[in-house]
Amino acid sequence: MAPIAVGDSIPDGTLAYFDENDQLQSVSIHSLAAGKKVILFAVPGAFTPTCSMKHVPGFIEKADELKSKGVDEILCISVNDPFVMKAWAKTYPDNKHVKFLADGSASYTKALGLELDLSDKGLGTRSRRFALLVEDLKVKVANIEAGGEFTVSSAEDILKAL
Amino acid sequence: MALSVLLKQTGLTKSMVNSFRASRAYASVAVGTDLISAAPDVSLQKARSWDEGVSSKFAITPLKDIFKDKKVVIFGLPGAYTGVCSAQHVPSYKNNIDKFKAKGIDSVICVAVNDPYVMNGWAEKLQAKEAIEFYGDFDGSLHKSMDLMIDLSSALLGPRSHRWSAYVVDGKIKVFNLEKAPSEFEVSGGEVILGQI
Repeated sequence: MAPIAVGDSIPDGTLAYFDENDQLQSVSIHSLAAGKKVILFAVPGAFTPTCSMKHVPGFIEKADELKSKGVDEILCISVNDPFVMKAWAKTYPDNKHVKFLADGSASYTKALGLELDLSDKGLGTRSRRFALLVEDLKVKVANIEAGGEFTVSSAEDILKAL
Repeated sequence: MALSVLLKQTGLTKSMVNSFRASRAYASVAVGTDLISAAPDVSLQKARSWDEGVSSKFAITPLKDIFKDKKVVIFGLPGAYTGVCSAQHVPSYKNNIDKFKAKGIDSVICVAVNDPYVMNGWAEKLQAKEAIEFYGDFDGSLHKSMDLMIDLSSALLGPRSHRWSAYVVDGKIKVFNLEKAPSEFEVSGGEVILGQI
């Protein structure tokens, strides 16, 4: 699959998460994004430094500002299982708006054409780092890193585009 | 009790659990198997932070280094941060570590099909890193060579390990315990194997 780009419609896919009552839920991306303005950002791996200490906190801190600019949902996805995503989300107690979604089998990441082989780091197939601004399922901004580096995919970069 | 806790936590139904039971009819690993020669190219990844990974150049640990000339108690489980694994399986080894040392065990090892960074985060959360060595079998190569993989996609975990434990001396399996289903916790705990070595 070619990587998703500006002007494309995002594919539908099912991701998993644990809700406030600790119940496992599946959610379709389209159900979260249709008719709305959403940010979809991805990290190569839960519990790894750039992801944990730079990428995610940026979106948590800027969440209120992003929402004030009309963003309805801020979705963080990673190729991890929902148990790991839940545990990782708990390390951000100040988080109010970012939803942590598990793409355990990498099927959604592959549907976006954004998978990355990190086997030599002990991670296997993961996602490239990226941030998309999606309006009513159409990609308006696609900030996609070549791999796991952190140059264009931050919350600030998306804010500039809003 | 263990089963109902996991079922509640993960939404697994009893029928899904029963289908796990049916899928495993034989073991290609058993008492007497020499792990080092059965899986000569297999390595594990020691649980570590990313920085430790970078500074070690993402080093891997061949099975030989873990098992040769050592008395090892090793247990495998479906997933870091999941119910029975966190609440029962790991604690049963952590709480008995002194008894294992008293019996001359060189290392108590926990392994799962997770990456080594997740294993590290989990081991720190369970405060178990001092007692137990955690390793990630991120691509399942160890569990595949032992025929201990199971598809837990219906529990949204994907391909994982069964729940098991073993006592391995100089690479040879002396004791091997395997749960009938990965959500169960009857034979693979620390207390059971303590009585078998």
